[in-house]
Amino acid sequence: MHKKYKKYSVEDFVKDENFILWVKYGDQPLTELFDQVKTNYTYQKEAISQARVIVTKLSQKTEYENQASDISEIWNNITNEMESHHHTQNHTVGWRSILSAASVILLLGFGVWFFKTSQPKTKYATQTASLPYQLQEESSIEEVPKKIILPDGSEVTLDANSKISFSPDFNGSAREVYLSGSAFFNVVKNPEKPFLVYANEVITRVVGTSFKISAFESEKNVVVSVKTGKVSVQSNQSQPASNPQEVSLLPNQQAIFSREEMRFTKQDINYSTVVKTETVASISKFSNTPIPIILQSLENQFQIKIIYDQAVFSNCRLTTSFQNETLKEKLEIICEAIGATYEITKIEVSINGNGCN
Amino acid sequence: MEKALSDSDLWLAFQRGDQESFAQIYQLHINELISYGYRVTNDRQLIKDSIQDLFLHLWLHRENLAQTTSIKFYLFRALRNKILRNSKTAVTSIDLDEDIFNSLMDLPYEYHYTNQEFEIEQSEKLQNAIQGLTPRQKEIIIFRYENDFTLEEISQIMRLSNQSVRNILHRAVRQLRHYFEIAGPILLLLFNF
Repeated sequence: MHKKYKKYSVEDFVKDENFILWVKYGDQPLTELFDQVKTNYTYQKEAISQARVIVTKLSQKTEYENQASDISEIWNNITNEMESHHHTQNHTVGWRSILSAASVILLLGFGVWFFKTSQPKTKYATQTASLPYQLQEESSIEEVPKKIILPDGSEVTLDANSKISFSPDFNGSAREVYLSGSAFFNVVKNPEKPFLVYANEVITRVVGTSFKISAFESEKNVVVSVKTGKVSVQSNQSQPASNPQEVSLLPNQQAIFSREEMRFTKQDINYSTVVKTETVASISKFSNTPIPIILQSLENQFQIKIIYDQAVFSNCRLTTSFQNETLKEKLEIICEAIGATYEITKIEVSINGNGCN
Repeated sequence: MEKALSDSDLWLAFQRGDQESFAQIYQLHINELISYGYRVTNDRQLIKDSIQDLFLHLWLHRENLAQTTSIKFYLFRALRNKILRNSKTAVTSIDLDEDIFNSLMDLPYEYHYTNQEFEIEQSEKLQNAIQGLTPRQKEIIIFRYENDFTLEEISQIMRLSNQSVRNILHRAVRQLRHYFEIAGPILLLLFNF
């Protein structure tokens, strides 16, 4: 098979399908093929080197300034247009699923914040805008969780792409917090002042406890999971008195509020396993992303510490899409690509390898 | 591991009105489409509008669209047509004329530089070499090397004969190769393996 390469010029290599695939994707059989070519026709090494540099350069993708926000902007316009067509044509279209699809894009990490803020009538925006007093807002627009200490000493760990607002002094009769996205709360006990979290249609009321709320504006459900203490959740929508939508939760219980059906489902969970391994059902697409950033996103998603040598891997980049893979599967994909090995222990993951040039 | 849907399945799901599939198609291909668009013209608004038109058109006419086994190919071909059309609307003709690409592609060929100085220098040199290419040559290079389209697909996207694509690509590569004859030996030392 390699015979035809005997007399190939640089140009021939650059145009050769196999050669391009080998340079771009480095498949094993092709690597073997070109290793053979180099061994059998040593005089071709130079041509191969040149051709390789040219193909690498030509294949390099360009990311433009503001590309991410442009992408969100275009999608926003498309969905708006779709919606207006939907109204005029009266098709039956489930708009929540479009928005939830949009959330997939959000989670991809491009233009995340732009997209959210450019949506005019989000729940969070309406709620926080209508308040009589000034709020302090904290957000984690990067892929890194952020810990925030509230005025009363309660702790909030904001997951990626989430934000909260609260009164800077908690002066009112209750401690009120507005959440968009997902966060873990560890609330300082104060029976005098209940702690209320407004997240989409759901109000969560506690005295002192720890729990997690996941309420992305674009997702179908609001989920409240309790780790310690007692939590009560209710919907902020008007509801028949005969069927009050209030649910009490104890540790290791979870309330799922379906935003379509406007009702709660309660279920028993094992907090430490369910909440920590909870994966985001979405695709994350990384394109030519530095490995440390990808690992960071795994750390967040799986709430696990990943140990590796920053200096060694900072040059490694990877283009891949993740969907619902487990931590192990993702690590395998990454390590395969950068020629590294990994080890999972109970509390952390360690990755070893020689890095990339 | 969840198996990704094949292109034809994803396309069918979208044609049946599944918005998630539609959004997925967008996210899978938007980066490629937008960087292609930004490469062929300086007029970003033209590209944004064309992409928006394209996707809206797809959604509204989804039931009447042809089936496809390569969504990416479908999108690129459709986008290229939209760009041509949109750039023409001012002139009222929807004649598919390549002038837009010829006049607009003389813009800086941007590259993502890596940290190493040498790489930068080298990129710059190749960039200069690419600058010397004709718009059509550049476009074919983008399709072939960045986007992995086959020569056959490129000829369909660009409405050229297979042989023309071959010739244009051949000339482009030969021209780029000259850059190595000038930049010569240093490169080879560093890239020998």
